Amino acid sequence: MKIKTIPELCTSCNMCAYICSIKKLGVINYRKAAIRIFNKLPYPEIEILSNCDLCKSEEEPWCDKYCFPGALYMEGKE
Amino acid sequence: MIFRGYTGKFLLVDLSKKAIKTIEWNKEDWLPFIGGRGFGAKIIWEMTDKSTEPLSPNNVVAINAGPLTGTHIPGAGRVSITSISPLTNIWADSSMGGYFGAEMKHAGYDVIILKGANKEPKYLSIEDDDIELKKADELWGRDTYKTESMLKKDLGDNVRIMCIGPAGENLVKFASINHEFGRQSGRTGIGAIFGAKKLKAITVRGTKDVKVADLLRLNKRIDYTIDFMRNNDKDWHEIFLRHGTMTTYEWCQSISALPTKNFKETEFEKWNESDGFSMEKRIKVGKKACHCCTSPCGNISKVQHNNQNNFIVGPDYETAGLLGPNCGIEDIESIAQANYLCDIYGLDTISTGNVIGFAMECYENGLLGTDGLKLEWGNATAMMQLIEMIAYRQGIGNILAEGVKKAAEYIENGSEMFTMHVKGLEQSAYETRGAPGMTLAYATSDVGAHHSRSTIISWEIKNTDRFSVSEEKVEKQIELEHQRSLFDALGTCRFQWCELRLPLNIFAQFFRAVTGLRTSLESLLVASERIFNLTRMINVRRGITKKDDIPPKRVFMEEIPSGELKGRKMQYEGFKAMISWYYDLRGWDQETGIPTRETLEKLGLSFVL
Ligand code: SF4
Ligand code: SF4
Repeated sequence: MKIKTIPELCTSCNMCAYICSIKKLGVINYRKAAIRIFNKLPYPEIEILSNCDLCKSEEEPWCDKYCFPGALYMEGKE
Repeated sequence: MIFRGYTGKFLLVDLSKKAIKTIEWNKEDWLPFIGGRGFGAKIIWEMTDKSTEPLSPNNVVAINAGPLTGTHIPGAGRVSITSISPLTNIWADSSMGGYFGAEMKHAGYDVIILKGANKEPKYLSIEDDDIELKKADELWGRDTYKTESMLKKDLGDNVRIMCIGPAGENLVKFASINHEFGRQSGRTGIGAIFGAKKLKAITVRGTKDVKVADLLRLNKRIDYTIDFMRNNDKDWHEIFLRHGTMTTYEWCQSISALPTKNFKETEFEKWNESDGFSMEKRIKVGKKACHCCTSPCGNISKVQHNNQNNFIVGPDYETAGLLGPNCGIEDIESIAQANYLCDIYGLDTISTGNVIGFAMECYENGLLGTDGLKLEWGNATAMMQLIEMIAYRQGIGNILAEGVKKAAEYIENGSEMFTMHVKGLEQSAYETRGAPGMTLAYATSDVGAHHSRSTIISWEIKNTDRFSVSEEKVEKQIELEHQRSLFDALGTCRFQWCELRLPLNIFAQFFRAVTGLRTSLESLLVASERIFNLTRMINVRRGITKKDDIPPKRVFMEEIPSGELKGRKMQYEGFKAMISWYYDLRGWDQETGIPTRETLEKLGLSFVL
């Protein structure tokens, strides 16, 4: 399984990255996240880094859970 | 002392001396001002005086994040930029969304303070503790999009930037500061101060953690917040997500408050060619959010310019109202194109829409020679040309670049009647002859005719006889002035509260979870009142008195010529009664409008006496 992205739906809010750093390391620092958003017009670039472990202790990855525009989804999951 | 939420540091950059230092601020002096705009007000009070010339090296700009800024609270990426305005010559303050504030906090600063001026164009580069003034010769003259692209190419995509365009360089008095291709600090002309300081841009990259007192509690409050906004009123949430502030467009038309033809009229016949639905159908291609915002108001729209596809984050309501109906422009495509031009040249869209509306009305009345430019209502081609002429100060653009107040002093011949401003700041997109509360809100706002201090119009229309003059309205207005201003002090967006109806108390809970301080909502609101009185005193020091707390002439002297509110105007007696209640309730002197000694002492502002 891996996280897939739909840049057209991404608003560049960066919430996924903030929440990732909180989940992974207990700190508020988007630069320490396993996901990166580069704000561009019209649509951003989204990069998933190799240290993403899909929040394996959780029901679903937190970035996906907190991405309300639906720009992230788990491949192979309904 | 250990700070949570705050970094505890100001970065002070003296451009003339090329001297850079960090200052640790102390709790007793600064916490009563919360942060953000509050810190900015105290800095401007202390570092400027009654005769500081806005465009001189002596003027100071403070870029202020708040205690909540940089946490993952939805919308907490904001900065308030404060100074002395070149447009109004009084207190300047403009809040900017996006991500810049958050990045400052990651770099370790609550406030960036600029004084002095560069001799040659420079940009300020901040990489955590590494601060450098770098050459900007290659950037000078470039538009804001190009400037940001070039800087990102040089420094990497993951740097946050604020910059000015040609309008700021050319000292257009309502030049903006632009950020991330679509967020602006537009009002009060701070872009021109950057221009005068030959500071093209500030770039920030911060790698430090943002520290909060109680992360667990903060997470819980954020989860509650997100859930509340999505589920409290689902229909409204959905339409707000689709249209953003363009939801206001249709509403303003429906209540006859849509600025039309330089605020002469209040309804626009072709309004549904340029409302939120037209935007959605014809130009919108996506959504853009500020820092961690889960209810993004930003619309990405496509724009044709020089036969190329470009994109803007916009239009928002204020922009659409003023560059649209206020200039008689009928189609959303032209509005978006004008929005794009303002963004790339670095112009405040609100003032620009006012200035062009003013020029069109002068033209209609034969008061303005335009060298063949047909400035008729609705002439989009002429409008685009005029925007460029203003940004580059060409022809009549040079006069208009001074703002409507100064332009009318130059044009004379009764053109003053066409100037829609308070204290020199052009009015934002609510016409007020059918809303005495809103008339007062513009008149008493510390920056001039801007809606961000109190947009009482929606409350007064919903809850009162809209045309009535009452003490109740004045009380509500003061309450709103404190509530709304609080968000700029905290450094977070207010839409989650005022648009999506999140209870205000949540923000006090955020404050406590982030800072670890046990401050109540009530004391935060008292702090907001303290800030409001301090900015008043900055203005008083610069000569503002009761005589300046006055709405544009048109409001009293001209009846609305058509539509639902035909025949309405604001009665001077009614206004006088309201301003008198206002001073009373605020503890300001009836004759002068200056806060009394007692009021200032009560608020802990004895240092201004
Ligand atoms: S949370 Fe979703 S919308 Fe926001 S930046 Fe991440 S991917 Fe984009
Ligand atoms: S509501 Fe709009 S202005 Fe506020 S944070 Fe969200 S995107 Fe930014």
